[in-house]
Amino acid sequence: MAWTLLIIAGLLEVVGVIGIKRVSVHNNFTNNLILLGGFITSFALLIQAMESIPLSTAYAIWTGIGSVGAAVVGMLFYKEPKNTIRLLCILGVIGCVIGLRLVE
Amino acid sequence: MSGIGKAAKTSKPLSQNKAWAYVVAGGALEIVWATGFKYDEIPSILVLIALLTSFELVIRATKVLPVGTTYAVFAGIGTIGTVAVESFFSGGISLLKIGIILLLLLFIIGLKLTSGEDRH
Repeated sequence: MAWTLLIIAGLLEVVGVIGIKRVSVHNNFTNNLILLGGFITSFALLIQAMESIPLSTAYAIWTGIGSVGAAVVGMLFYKEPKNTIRLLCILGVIGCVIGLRLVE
Repeated sequence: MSGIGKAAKTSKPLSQNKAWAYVVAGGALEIVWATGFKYDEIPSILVLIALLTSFELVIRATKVLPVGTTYAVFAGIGTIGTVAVESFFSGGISLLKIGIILLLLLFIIGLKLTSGEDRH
């Protein structure tokens, strides 16, 4: 259960990052709501997940999912480069998350 | 946090060195709030202040520094910092786990540095 919460927390972090991008373009109520809503719910779930998952594992996975998610969103919607190196990095993060799950 | 955009717009441009100092300070505060999420030794109010200050510092820094590099450094400080804190608080951490976390960090840095956001 804690691992499910941690993964959802990472995905909500991506929502917060989308909020940052949107606020930097247009500082309105909706975009601030996406930013704050994403991060507040993400932090709440991260805190829950940390009750049973060690600090370094939880933090690394949370920031890893956030980075992969932000990169995927960037590739799909913000014209960020889609090249082999980036795709390998995404697979690498996913592999490490699975690895951490196995050693924990 | 809705004041972030406004504050950054009205503030004077930072020097690059000062902006990097902001990133390092923001990264250090990130370790404080992440640790506070797990351990009760850090009071909630301190966690909240560290959280808001670290985001504010990093967002200010990205106004003058490349976003990809800034976030790569920020994530790196947080990742290595939490590993150090855990070794301290829980009396050790396996080498295998440290290895996987460092590998994860390497992939994150790779993703951030190739995001194409390093142009000004």
